Amino acid sequence: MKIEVLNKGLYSLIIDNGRVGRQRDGFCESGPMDSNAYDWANFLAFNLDGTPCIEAIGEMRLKVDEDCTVAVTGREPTLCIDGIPSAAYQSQQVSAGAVITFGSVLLGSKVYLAIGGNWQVPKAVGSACTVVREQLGGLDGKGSALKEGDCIEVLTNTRNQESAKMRSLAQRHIDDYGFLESIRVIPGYQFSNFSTVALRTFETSSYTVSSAIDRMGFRLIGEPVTADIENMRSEAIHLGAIQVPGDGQPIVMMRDRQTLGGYPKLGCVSPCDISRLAQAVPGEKVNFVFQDEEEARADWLLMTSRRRRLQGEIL
Amino acid sequence: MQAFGRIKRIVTASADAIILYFDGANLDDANNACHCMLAAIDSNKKSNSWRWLRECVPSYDSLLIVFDMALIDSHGVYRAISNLSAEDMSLQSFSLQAKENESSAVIEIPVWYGAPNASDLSVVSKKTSLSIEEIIELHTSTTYKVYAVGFSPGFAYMGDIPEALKCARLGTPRKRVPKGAVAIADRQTAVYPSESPGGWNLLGLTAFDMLIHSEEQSEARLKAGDVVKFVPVTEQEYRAGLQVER
Repeated sequence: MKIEVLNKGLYSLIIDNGRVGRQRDGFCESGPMDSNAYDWANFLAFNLDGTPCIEAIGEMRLKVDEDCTVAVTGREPTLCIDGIPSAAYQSQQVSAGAVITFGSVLLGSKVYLAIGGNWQVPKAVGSACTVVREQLGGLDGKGSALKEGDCIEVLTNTRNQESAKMRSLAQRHIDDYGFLESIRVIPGYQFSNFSTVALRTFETSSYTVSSAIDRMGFRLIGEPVTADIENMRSEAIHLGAIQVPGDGQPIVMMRDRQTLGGYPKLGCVSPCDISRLAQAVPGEKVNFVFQDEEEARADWLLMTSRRRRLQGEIL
Repeated sequence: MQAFGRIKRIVTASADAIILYFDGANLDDANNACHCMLAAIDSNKKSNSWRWLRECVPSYDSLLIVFDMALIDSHGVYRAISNLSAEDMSLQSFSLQAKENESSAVIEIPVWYGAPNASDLSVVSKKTSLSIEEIIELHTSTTYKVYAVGFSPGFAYMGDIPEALKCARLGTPRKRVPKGAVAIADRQTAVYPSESPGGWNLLGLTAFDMLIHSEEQSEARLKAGDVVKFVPVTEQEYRAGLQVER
């Protein structure tokens, strides 16, 4: 089956789970910005975890030339099939020749489109994930974002479409993407080099998401926080690390972050909250709260077991 | 978590990662200790009891270890690392030494210092109170060791630059640094392998390609342990170099 891109929206990429084990050569982790939505999209489209899908910003339009099953997820996602509004977070049967339009109500949020089947896309350094900066992945394997006229080849799995029960995630179980709840941060790295005053400032102020947000990192604007070290050796930067350059404005490091860096870091955003933060749009305000490592792991185990339970109930 | 052996400190990085910092008589020594630990982990990671290991990222004197939280917690990771036998570590240290002796030829990187779109020479001059000529002289006078590869594919961290040339990163990182930019920060020097954001002070441009491109895989041209020297060239020589590399 061919999926033709009629309108690429603002920015759309073919992504998958990303590159594992190659950060030591300088290849970034990559992968979905919102891994929760990505996992749900594949589950709802009857795909195995880690199957490629499209991560789109803006409204994207595609045409399929065979019957297939699709699912759209993300923060406030919208979906139209041949102009008829259809539910997101649900398997949708689509007929040959149908036009799929999807996007998010919020400009700048990411939406995920999974299409059931086997994606015929090249892998570069172990993954199909597009990293424009590294010229890796995507349709051509050279890191190009999707554009009008591109055709993605997917071998559909017809077995699922006829007999399987369509899957849907109840509204009340969809992840909450708001920022009423603080973003949890695990103290780490150079945490002890920040003064009590600086840490207190960080925890009690609101930070505004700037317009400089991309797959590498999210720059925030607010009360400056600085560490009492000026020169440090570059070291590995983990997902969600909050680094503070000399100007004191925090940058949260995301999926396509550089592997090593030398700015002081006060810790990492909890793995439970990284997807939520990745869906923030410019102008939104976020608050941070410190949480110890053990508690964060417990929360993460709860979150994943809850997802497994929900998926078990849907099956 | 109690440090042991050549490890100086063990620090939490996130809920699913810890970072080890190594000690040594000097940076070179600490860097070797770090690579010994990495090699010891690599030789064990295929075994079933290390299934939790997701990523292991070395740098100058540190090693980040990322684990699968569903399989282990940080205490379990600590136990696994401290159980790596001393024998294992010394074996790795020996083979590392042999590898180093093998590849001791100095690699020369030609630099067009002061290239207009890649020059913070006046900023560096202000920060270090050195003249532009002195900066170039100092930067080219030393041979450097590649301590780590990272930041972006093929980006080699080299050191140490002379103490007099030491200068802090830019307060706000640049959104765009050109491919081939030669830069310094603290006691480190490097070449940007492709256009990217970055916070280092730029000295000039090189035509030396930091990545070896092949059909399926791209590979870093410089490896940890390589010895490198910078050589000044003119704009014409830089442009001629670009033709050759292409």
